[in-house]
Amino acid sequence: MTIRSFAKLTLVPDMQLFLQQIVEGLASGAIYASLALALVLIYRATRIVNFAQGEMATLSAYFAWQLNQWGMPFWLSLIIVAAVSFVMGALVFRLIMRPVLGASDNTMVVVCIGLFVGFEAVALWFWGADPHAFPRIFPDYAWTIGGVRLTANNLGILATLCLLTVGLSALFRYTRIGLAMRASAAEREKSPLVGIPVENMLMLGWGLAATVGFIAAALIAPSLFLSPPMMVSVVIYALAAATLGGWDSLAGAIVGGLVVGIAESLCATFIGFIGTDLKVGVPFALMAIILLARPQGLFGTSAVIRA
Amino acid sequence: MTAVLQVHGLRAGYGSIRVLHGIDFEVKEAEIVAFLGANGAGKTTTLRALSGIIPARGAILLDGHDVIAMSADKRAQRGIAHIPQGRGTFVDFTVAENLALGAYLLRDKAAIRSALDYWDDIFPWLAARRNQPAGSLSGGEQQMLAVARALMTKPRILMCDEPSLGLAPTTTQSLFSLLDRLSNERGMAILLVEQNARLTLKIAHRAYVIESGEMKLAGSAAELRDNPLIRQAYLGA
Repeated sequence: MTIRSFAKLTLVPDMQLFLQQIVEGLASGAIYASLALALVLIYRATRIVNFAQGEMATLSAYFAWQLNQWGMPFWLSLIIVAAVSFVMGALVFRLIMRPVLGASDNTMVVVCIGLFVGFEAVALWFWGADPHAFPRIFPDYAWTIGGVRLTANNLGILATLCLLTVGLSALFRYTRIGLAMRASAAEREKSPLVGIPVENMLMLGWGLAATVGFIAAALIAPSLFLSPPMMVSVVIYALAAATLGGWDSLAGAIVGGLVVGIAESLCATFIGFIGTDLKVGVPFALMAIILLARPQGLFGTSAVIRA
Repeated sequence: MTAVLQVHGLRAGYGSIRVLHGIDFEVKEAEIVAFLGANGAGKTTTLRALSGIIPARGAILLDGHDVIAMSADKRAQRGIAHIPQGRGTFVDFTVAENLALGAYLLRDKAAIRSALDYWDDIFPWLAARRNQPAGSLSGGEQQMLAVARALMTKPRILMCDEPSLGLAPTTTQSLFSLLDRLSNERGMAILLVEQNARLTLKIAHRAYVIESGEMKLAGSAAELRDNPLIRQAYLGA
């Protein structure tokens, strides 16, 4: 069946609305998944839940916006800021996280809250609280198939998530440095014994996460408008995604993100009392359910060890 | 024979608790040196201090160069291979990944290939288990894999911490004959920490007895086998 003949099919309106909400949910879910990927990268490397990931990403998005304002082509500013974000993430690890590595969980939480407040304050200080329009990465095309509207933006967001997934999997599965990063995350004490400079690997992990977080921010900024607290709600969805998928699984972060996105969009549309006002409760409900039913998350692993 | 490792006045501990109170010893080329001692005597701490997992003071001369100020990964680069107690492998990683991690310092593809071939030859079962997680191997296989992993880079000295722990007697036998073979064929210097004194003194050339963080006795394996103190404390006779 060609797309043209498929397009002539008329679906019942409810079915159309349902599919439309799935598409919207997948697109926003892909953004939650990207930020969840960043959270999981850091958690796997350093066993820290970096609450400040979203604020770091927002600051990066401001950098890109500012470069663009100064006349730099948008795509070029994206590439440059992707690299700058990497350095920023690596520096945050080197200067702030490394001294407290191995400290208690409470210490980590407080340090991350400090980063959260600090990064948001920096954005507020330089750029103020007024939201700015952030350029769209993808063009404004849209196609209608069977009454369901597919925008180039939504497809572009999903394609970006696919690229991120393929890129990260290839890095971790097929490269020497990826293997060393995984080893450093899994066995911090044994890894130096084979000659791996563990702290450098953890630093790379933080850098990588900051770049992935920036990608999430750049994807969502056009629809949310750029403002210092832009990523706060997105981080909540990403935390839910990572909890749902399992904190030590990249695949889990992606599936978790998409599930959270779809659940949010369907609940807001089809469950009357939730609507757009209460939809932020959806990720909390999902988190509560998964923590009761399967605390390690859908893809979280319990290691196979024979004595 | 030249000394590969010379240790002078090694002091180490955990926090404010001092475990090693300045010990001296050496390991020569192609020599198997055993460390005997009761639980808590400081054997494991000595290996951890040597490989740089814990900070230490004193002098650790590897081929005459003091490595005491180097980080653990730098010392591995210099040729100190340490198989820690218990599972010396990366349990969540496949057999192939464990060997690749062992070869982390090798940049030369041909060198990696020839090291892999060498171990495939010694352990034919490795090839069949390539994609299995190391944690799913039997205890003996894990220990063999740990040795192969540690020796991918041709280190200067191999340090094994209680490799026989939890292994069946026959598996321990074949592991020890492998260590013997490594010292004979490859001239590997080996520092072996063991509870199993009887078997260890069969393959070791020399041994040290450590007690409460201090060297108590030193001598050739034959001398120590005949020492009444050793017979009573470690050989159960």
